[in-house]
Amino acid sequence: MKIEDFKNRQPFTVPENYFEQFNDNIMNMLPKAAVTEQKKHRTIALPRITRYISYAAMLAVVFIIGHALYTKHDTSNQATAEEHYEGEYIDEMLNNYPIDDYTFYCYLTGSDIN
Amino acid sequence: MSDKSSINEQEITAMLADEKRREAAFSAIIKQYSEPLYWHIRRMVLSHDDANDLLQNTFLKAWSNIDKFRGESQISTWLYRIAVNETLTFLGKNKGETVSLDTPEGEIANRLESDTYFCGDRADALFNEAISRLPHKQRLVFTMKYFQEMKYEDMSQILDTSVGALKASYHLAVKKIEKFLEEQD
Repeated sequence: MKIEDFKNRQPFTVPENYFEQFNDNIMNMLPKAAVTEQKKHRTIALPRITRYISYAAMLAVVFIIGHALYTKHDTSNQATAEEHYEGEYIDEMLNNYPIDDYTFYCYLTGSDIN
Repeated sequence: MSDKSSINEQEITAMLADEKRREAAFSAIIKQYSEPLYWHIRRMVLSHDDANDLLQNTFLKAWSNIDKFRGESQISTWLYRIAVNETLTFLGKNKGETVSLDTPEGEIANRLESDTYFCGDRADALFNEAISRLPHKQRLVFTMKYFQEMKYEDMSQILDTSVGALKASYHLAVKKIEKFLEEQD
């Protein structure tokens, strides 16, 4: 095999009508490429803003719900504790202090024992 | 390259500068250069699919940089520069039918023979394997000179390399290909 032997040989082929179709295709791609570029900018810009707004809204909702739940939970805990404390205090008083029912009634109504 | 060109360079350059006529000018450029550019790329990358992708990229890149074309160089030189850059980048990323030192002799030829868009015989396949075993830039010089019979002066403008260096590179490439073919006989 000598190098000169291959000068005018063409061992490569292309699909049928390749060059005709290529020319048409590439021309069709040019304006499309420009439109796609514009669309890209639009589709990138819009969701970004929407995404940020939705994040902010989600955070606000979570904060409001969290705050409401925390406040409610805290208030109910406090009320229960107070109720519990009052009942416990009275029971203890009745059990440990030398006081009869009549004296206790007078104490509750504010009337004079004598 | 200018002698092969059938489009009027000055007229096309003037049309490119006019937004209303730019697309028509570009269409004429594609019609004129798609085929020679395709064969230049195909000889480098061997695969039709890769050549098709690179040719598309070449024209799309040319279109996106059309404002920068001032007619200071020939349209063909400008397009070949883009095509060369695209092809060298592609080969540099080890894509396509690349060859390493470890690739067994005959493997590229085997791959070529099983390619749908290759109709050559074993000798053609081996010859193209010999070319693909050259360093990328040497392969480029050989392809431009041997197949496209490009003048060294034109090649010098496209590749930004001195004529002397191009001649030496071509001579070296020929020697390497001859040696490879001798070993296959």
